[in-house]
Amino acid sequence: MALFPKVGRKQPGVRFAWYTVVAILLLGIFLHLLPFYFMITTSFKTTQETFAIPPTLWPQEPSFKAWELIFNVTTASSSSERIRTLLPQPMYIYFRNSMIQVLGAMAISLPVTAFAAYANSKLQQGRTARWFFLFFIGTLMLPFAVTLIPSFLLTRNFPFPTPNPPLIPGTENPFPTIRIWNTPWAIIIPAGFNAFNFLLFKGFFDTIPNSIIQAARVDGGSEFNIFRRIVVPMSIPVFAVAAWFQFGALWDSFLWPLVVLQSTDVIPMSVAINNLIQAFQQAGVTNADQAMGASQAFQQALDAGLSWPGLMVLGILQTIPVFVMFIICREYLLKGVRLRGLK
Amino acid sequence: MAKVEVRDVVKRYTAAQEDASRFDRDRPALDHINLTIEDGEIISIVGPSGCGKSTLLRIIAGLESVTSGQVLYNDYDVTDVEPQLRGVGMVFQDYALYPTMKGKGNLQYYFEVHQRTEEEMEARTREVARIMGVGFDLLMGQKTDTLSGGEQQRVAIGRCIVRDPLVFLMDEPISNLDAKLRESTRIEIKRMLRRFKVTTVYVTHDQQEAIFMGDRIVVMRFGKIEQVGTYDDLYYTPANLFVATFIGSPPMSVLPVTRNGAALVLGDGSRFELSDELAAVLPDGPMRLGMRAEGWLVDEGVAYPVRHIERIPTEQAAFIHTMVDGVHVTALVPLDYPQVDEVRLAPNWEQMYFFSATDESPLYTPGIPELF
Amino acid sequence: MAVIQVNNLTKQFDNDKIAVNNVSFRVDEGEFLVLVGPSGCGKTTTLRLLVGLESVSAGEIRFGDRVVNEIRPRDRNVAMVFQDYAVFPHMNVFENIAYGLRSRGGYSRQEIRERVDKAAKMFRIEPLLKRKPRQLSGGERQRVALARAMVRDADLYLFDEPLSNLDAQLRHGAREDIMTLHQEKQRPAVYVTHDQSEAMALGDRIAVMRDGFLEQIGTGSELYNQPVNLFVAFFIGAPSINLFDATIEAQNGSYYVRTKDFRALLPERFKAKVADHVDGRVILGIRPEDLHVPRKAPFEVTEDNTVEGVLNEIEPTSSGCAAYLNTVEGEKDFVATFKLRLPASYLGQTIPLGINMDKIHLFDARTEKSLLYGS
Repeated sequence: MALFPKVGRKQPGVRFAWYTVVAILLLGIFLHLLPFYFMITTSFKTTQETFAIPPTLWPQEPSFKAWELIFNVTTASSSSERIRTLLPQPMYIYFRNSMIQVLGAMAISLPVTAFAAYANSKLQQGRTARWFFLFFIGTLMLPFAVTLIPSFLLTRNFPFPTPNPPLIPGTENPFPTIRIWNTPWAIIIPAGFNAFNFLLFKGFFDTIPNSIIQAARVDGGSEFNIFRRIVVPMSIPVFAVAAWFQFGALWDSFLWPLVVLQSTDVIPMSVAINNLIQAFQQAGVTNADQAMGASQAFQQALDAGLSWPGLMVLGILQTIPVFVMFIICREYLLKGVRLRGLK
Repeated sequence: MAKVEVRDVVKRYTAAQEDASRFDRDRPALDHINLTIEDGEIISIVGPSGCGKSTLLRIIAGLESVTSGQVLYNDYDVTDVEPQLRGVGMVFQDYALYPTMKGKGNLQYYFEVHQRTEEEMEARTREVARIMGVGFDLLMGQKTDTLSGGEQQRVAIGRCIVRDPLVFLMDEPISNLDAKLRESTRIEIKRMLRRFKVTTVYVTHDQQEAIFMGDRIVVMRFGKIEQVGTYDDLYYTPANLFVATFIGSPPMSVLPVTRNGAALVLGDGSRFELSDELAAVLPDGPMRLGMRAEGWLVDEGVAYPVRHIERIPTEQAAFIHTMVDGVHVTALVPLDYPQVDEVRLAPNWEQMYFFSATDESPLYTPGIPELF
Repeated sequence: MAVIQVNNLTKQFDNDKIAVNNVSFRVDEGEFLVLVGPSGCGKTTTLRLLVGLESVSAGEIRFGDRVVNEIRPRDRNVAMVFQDYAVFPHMNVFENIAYGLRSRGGYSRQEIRERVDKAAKMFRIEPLLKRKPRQLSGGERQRVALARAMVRDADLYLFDEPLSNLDAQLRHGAREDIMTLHQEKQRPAVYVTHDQSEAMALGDRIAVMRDGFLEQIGTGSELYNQPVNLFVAFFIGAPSINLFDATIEAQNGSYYVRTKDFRALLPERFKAKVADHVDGRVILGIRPEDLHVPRKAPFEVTEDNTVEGVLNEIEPTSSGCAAYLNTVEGEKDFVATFKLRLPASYLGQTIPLGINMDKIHLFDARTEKSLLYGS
């Protein structure tokens, strides 16, 4: 289905409009891809070249130093102490942390959200369904910054969002609480229900004709069986989209892990990279002038690519899992079921 | 094999349950329905959209709950029994096949859920394939969302009969098919129903289909049953004006008339002398005259302009469409009737229906004609 | 604007499916042409090509002497009534009907008001002008769609199965409304349906399509009495024509048509046409109304024009009844229509029926072409 209907494109006024639209879209695509291109080419440049003005489109002196350095840094097999302090753990540890948290969150969130959406779409009716729907969607209206503090307090004294747990009435003892701060659960539990995916699932489940569910009931299936054997196989594309969105959102999430995770054996990659950038800045290697004037050791480090090229490499590493996830989900996206028009 | 009884069922949709824009808030979807379907009988339920026929079917199936009243199978109260346990087979208007399974999976879902043995499942599927005729095996092996409408419909029927149910429930199963396919499919369905002798409830909005399928026909409107009976009952002795105009194709024309002494006067002034029999029965004053296409005597009486002539070769008949007193009227004539601009019509006293001018009650209906 | 002319029209979709295959026809001023055929035959695609909602792969469409292949729908000046009526849900009935006039411009408010009122009155929806579509029944929405087509002064009126979504009972009235629209406008009209009885009732001429091809075009009685192939013979006419596999036999200078269940004498005037099919396989077609109860047949019923069948169902019709039978030997289903009412006591019995051999059809078993009619 084209932007402009096929018929009529040859008419003069329409033809001009069509070409203009195409040109604008091409420009948009180009601008969209430009940062990625820049990121990849910079990762192969030397530090000096990254500071060159005007910026070069293609590495004049391609160098793999940045890649080597990051992998050495990441596997902690580098000799330089200085470099070791920049990043306490090998990179794959942070990668592991990210994976555990994101996949764990998705493993709970997708079923929970899908069940909620199915119940709201097919099992509840009328006013009840509408109110629950509005309630869940309403949570999307709360900005994250507003709920940040209460959520943080919740992780310290789960389930009470207060700095100190309240006292059990009639005694001096506080309620028992669970402290999930600085554990992967601080990421997994809040992600357990995703209102955006709820909207997605409900929208799709609404398009499933009620007669199919009714036919299954007449056949004798329990509600859960119907969901598992009939609805889920039909919804695979939607699950793929929901998984893809959630993976992207969680993998790149930064502020929340920064707030609730501290020790290096739970920090995800996004926070780890930020820490690395901070370390670079403190070591003074991100500013051209400072860098040029620094000591021998720094010069070595710079030569080794510990600068913007290195950051670019890390950026690419951060992006790759999301991209891979997209490729995986795309397969399932296309396995759609055609609820055919009745002919 | 079951006798199905619906006792004083009322179904109301509350605002909390359903989007009330589909029904008037004041009117219940089903209003004190009483119906007994004998064991092995095929009953058609017919009526305009929104009359409650599908709702009634779903209540018999258990897919909807009643507000009050009872549903009984073989005198056993199943009103609160969930559909999974009622042992019915149902065919839906949009077939409602499971799109991610092949045809075979659709039939076998029932057995899986009830944890029957593999052998039983295979045996029943083979039996159904044999009954459904040539080509059904091919449908078994294909994903149902790749099948055409007619093929999907056959699988849906197969799914309905594979579990040997007590009652067949069919909700407009062939409405979505092409007209030609509908013709051949309904013969197949009727033959199959005759063979199984299972109690069947068949819902449709097409009165010709209802007449073909059902041993008895139930006409519904606005949540109430207007009349139950055989075709002849409904056609020759309709209980009210609605049933009279609903049953019969082309539909009956309704003309406002007045009885003036011994004559019947139409709105445009034409007068017809009443027969003795009718003169004895009809009251004076205004009333409504119902005429079916075959109830007109052609080439005698008053002249009316012809709008067009519709010729139907297979019925060896033609219908003259004309306007009498502002009302659209059809008259039945032989197929080779000449193409004219004007036709003279007079009513045949033996085939006239009279209804009250103010409500829908019948004043006189002809009854089944005496042919011999 | 004289005539709509379609020449060698072809439409091929991306997946290589040829939806419309080299179709040609014309629609004259004031003519009502019906495109009829089973689902997937290309009739709706043809209509959409006429509107301009699909692009033409090959061939041309002319309105008068203007080739319109590349012209946008809004510049073609056509009016269309859709299957699901396509009434705009957020506008009331008046605005819906006025939409075409308003978006084209050139009509004063007074003029729009007058036209809409006239159209609404014609289709009896005047009291509904202020309502929104969701407050209307299906039949009322359909009339809104018709009124919307009515207010325009289009060069071509197109109808895409407008009656399919209506209850069977409402269709008769709606047919009259469509005829009213056409008689008022007297412009060319093309109507698409899968229901052949609708086609026969409404069409001045009917075009039967299958798998993208135009099988035959002609008046209703031409298609009914002189079908050029098996498909047209089967498609037109309800109940459908009865078909029997048969062979032609020659015996003592006469030709006979022999099926598994009976043998019938072929009338002399058909002999020349089937001469090259003697001992060959053919398909015999007998229309339901050409089977007669022997006592009432308008011709002599002998053993050379009789078929016996077991009576399975009797369906009452407005002019008599339709009897559903099957042959004894081959268990072949067939249908006969009568002008009298068969009593139910005959159900299950074997009855003989006379065949009117002057009205039979014969088709080549391989090509399915008619041996008696067509080129």
